[in-house]
Amino acid sequence: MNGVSGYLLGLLLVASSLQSKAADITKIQLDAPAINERELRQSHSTALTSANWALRLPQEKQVSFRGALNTDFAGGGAMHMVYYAPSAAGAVAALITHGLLNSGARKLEMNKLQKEADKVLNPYQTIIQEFNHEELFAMISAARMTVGQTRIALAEEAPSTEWFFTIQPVFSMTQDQKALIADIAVSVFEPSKPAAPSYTNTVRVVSSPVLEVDPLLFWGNAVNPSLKRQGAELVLTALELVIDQATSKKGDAAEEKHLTKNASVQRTVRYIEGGNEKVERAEVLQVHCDRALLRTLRGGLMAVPLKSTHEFEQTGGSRDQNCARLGAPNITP
Amino acid sequence: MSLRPAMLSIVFVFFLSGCAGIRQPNVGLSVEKISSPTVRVGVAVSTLPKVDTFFPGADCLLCMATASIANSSLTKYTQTLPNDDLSSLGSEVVELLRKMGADAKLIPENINIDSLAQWNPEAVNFAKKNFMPLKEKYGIDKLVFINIYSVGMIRTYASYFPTSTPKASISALGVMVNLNDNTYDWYAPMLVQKATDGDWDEPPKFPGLTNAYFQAIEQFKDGAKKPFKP
Repeated sequence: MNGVSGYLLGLLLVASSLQSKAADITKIQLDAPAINERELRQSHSTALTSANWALRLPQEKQVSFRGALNTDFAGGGAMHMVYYAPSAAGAVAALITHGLLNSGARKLEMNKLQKEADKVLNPYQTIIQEFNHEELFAMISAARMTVGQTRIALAEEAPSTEWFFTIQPVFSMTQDQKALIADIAVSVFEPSKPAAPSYTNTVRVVSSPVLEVDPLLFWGNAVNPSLKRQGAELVLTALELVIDQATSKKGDAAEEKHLTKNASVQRTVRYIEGGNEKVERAEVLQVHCDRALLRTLRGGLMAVPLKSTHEFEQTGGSRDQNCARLGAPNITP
Repeated sequence: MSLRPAMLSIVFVFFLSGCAGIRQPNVGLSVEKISSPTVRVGVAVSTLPKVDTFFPGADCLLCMATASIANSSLTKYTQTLPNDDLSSLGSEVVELLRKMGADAKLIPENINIDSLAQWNPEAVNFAKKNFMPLKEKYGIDKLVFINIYSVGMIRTYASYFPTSTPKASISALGVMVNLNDNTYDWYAPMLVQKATDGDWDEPPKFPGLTNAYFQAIEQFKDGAKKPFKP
């Protein structure tokens, strides 16, 4: 009898843990980076400082958009099951059937929730369907050159001596249509090692809230749709952050001192996402121009608008007055 | 055979009496009840419970064992999470009450609800325990009491199988009792759940769930303080 119980418990554990592993939402999420930007900078200081940068676009043509999803109360809830089990084999069959049905129901629910969330994009489908990565790149490249920074070329057209990025952006629109969020998987490749990235991370950039009364007019403007413009701004901001963190040598001593003093100091940061206040537990890397650069618990970078910089004044974080670094670059389509 | 109607009646009465328990509806807090400086308000928060994992729905012994073992690394980690951020809740509510014009103070000691006598359990808007002796003890007219039941991670089950991913969760009951007549001036059950942004199964440090945990704490504190904001 003990043997049967043990067998059943083992079977249940395997089935239960398999269910546990099932990811409910497909989100851009990489493992914690092996090295951070500072370590990348220190290990390649000479090469990186003078580098021009190239960009390799995702293989998919179309830019990916979706509605921001809240899963706080998703799930089937607690319930009691009664199994019809005339024999040990029947019990196992009943358990397996329950497990399969349960797993399927959870996936269906998450798909349904995402479909509901995606409806926020319905008014912008025409813009989204014609927005491809080439156009996104053209907007980013033009904007970066207009502010006199090192150029970004397409990796395929750049000399093989240049460092290059690969990016995989996914945009989410908040349900109140007041903000766009870019989740971007970024990999940085050394020219001599194009097969394996020297640095990989995710960067999330949350746009400042839209103050316009009618978001439809703002995002869906027929002449100059902000959906594209803001999307390009967010991706460029993410690239700037990675380049900036990886190449800027100024302030190394100050940062060293700051990191030594506040090593791994995590705090609860409140920021604005559309019309709502959000919270992130993170390390505060920079605060300026009512925006903050955070390092999340997963090691990713996150640039967010703050309700106020006041609460950060005593944190000891470096306050950079150059708003262009974290602010929105001037992008024209 | 003659026993059958009697047995059915007993069962019927048993179920009926089970349904007859009065459900206490939420009671909103009205500003005029606390905005006078002549009203002395004491604020107390229950002893913070141990941060832990909860698996409702895993009811049978084997189900509990399965859930416990399948989530053992999460439980071990969850129990290391701090709950210090909740300890300031009482003093923050006192500050808000003072801003509203009340004569408020923090009750620094733990109020043991179980030690209070039962009170009028069949009436709506009356506390089920007799809080009135606390008027003399603490020199207050009203008591704001936030009873935090659970803090940690919750994962619902249907017997052996999880029906949701783990989420950070805090459950509590906030009340304000008028110590002159033991009535509720405020009654608000609170439940906060926060899901991870992305995957949750990231041992050993579960960064997604840790983030959700701190989000839940902030959301809970915001919710608990909201009625006291002018």
